[in-house]
Amino acid sequence: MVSKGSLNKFKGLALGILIFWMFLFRAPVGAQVIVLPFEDLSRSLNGINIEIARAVADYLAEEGFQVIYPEEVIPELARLRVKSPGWIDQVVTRELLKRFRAKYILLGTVLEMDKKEPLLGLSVRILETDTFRLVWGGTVSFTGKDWHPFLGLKQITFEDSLRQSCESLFAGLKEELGVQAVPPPAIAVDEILLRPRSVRGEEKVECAVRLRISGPPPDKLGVDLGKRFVPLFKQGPYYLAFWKAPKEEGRYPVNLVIRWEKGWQVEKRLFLATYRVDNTPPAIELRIYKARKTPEAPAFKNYVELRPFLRNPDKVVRWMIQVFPEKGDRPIISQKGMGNLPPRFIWRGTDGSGRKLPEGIYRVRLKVWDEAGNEGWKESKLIYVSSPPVAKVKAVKEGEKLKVSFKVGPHPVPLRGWTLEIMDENGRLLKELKGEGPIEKELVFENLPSGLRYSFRVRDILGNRVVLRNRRIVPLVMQAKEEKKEKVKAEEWVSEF
Amino acid sequence: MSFKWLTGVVLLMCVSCSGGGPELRIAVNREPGICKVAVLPFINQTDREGVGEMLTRVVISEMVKSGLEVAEEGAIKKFLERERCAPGRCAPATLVKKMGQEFGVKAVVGGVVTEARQVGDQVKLGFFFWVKDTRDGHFMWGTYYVREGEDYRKVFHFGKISSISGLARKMVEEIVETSMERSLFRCRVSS
Repeated sequence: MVSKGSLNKFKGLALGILIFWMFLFRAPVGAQVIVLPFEDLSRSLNGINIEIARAVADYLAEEGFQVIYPEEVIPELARLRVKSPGWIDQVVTRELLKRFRAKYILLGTVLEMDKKEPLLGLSVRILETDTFRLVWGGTVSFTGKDWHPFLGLKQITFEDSLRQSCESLFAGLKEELGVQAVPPPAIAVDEILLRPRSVRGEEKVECAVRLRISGPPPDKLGVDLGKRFVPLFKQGPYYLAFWKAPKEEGRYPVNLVIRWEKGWQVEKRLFLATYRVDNTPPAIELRIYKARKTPEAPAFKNYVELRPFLRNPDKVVRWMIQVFPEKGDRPIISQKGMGNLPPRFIWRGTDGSGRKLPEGIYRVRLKVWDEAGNEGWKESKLIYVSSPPVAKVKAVKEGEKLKVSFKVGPHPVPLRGWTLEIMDENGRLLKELKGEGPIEKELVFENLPSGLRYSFRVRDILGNRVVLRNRRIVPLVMQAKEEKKEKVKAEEWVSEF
Repeated sequence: MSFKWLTGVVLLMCVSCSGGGPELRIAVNREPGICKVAVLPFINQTDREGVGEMLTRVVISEMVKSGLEVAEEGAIKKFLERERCAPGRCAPATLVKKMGQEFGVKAVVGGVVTEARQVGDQVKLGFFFWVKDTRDGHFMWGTYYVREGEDYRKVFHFGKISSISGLARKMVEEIVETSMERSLFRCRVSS
């Protein structure tokens, strides 16, 4: 059992640890040198120079010092009512130490300055904040008049002289101060999620990055998209950014930009990924195999093979194939798929449940979507014919003439050929006729014996065929007379019978 | 013939470039080896504005660079303000003594700039540099040092100083070096 007193003690301890941690992490860490604005004697006795101070701070930052820049200190100096950087006393130093946790304060004076000549005289001293002792000092003077390049070829600029002054002034500073320069913050990208990688213009793109940062939190963190900068915000373990893709097609890089302004003047750029703006729908082509060309549309008998082809190298992520009747928007078959297109589709003239469809014209529509979501489609007409043409033979006898007409009923596809054989009662071939294309014939025979027979074969271009073999030609007139006779027989009374 | 002529030119250069260091006037019976000092603002008696302040900063930074313990100028300014002593106006013995107590320094450094001229790339600087003992406020040692940028010319144009700040730095460096050599200023860390 835990007593109430010990529980309270534990609570108090936990609260203490929590407050300690909060305090520890609230304090700015790692700052080493506060660079105060420089006094500028070249302007006036009370002149202030921030530009040179900033340049010096930049140089120190490059050298690996953690620097508090003059701009950050000015509000604090104003709060402490310091009239000039040359009026720093122990109280101010202590306050600056408390505020910035810096070990040193750099105090500088611009002794002389002329940007045209160029001329620069700097006097710098470094004050240790916790002991209020001057620990380092130096003076440098650089003038263009003392600069004598070889053959007078190079002109020295003020920036050159400033750089050289800093190099000469702070040479060996780290060693003298015994400062273990803290390495600049480091960053590692563990995971990048950029989606979609292919997008239509003005659509939303999102980027999630999982980072590991060693050092203080950066002052600027975002993605550079070339023409604009989008800040990243933290959500869970990820840093997120959203933006609208540009209208223009093309491939766009995404770079991570991370910047520490306080302490270091460090900016790191890391390439993350690229995304593509694609506004063009995929150009699809549907090639038809195992079908015969007809003037109206390709026709097939058993099955048709449809092979899709992409005209441009687009990546298809989704597709849908549908079969519609000639007139109507309700699909008979609808099949969807993800990923790449299959190399071929085969349709056997059936509906979704496998039942044979009636012959006729159908529309096959293939829709595809690329990664950006652009939709492309292609529709083709197909004629499905599974039965042979219907043939009719009609014979009419007029006197000695026998008129035989052959007729093939309406058929969706053209005929490939036909054969007609007319034979007598004994099977002798009397006439043979062959032809191609549509048949609508009437043959007239004279002086032919009765009891004729015929064989008729018709075949369409798909191979559907009808064969009428060894059929009797029964002329309509004769048949009618015979029928009449029989009727007469039946109606008349024969007395001899 | 030409070789002789060249030798003559080099000799002339060496003679013209030779310049003595600062001559220090040292009071007798003074404690040597002072390490901790305060620097009073230098009095400017020239027409050139800011040269007193310039020299003060140069003296502070050069002394710190040499390893001396120097009281921060801001604290000295505050002290002088509190004591109602305008910077660079006065340094009575009582004030020097008080500074010793206040800042724990053994000596107070000050001076007067008497000459600061610049014409083209010709510069000239003259100043009086003194060190006073904080025990009694008396003069310990000092020098009046006047130099021109030309004095530092070595060969052709090399070595010549063309800026007042550059000349001030060089002159103060020489004074501090000489004082160190003569053990007037001495710190353990700097030796």
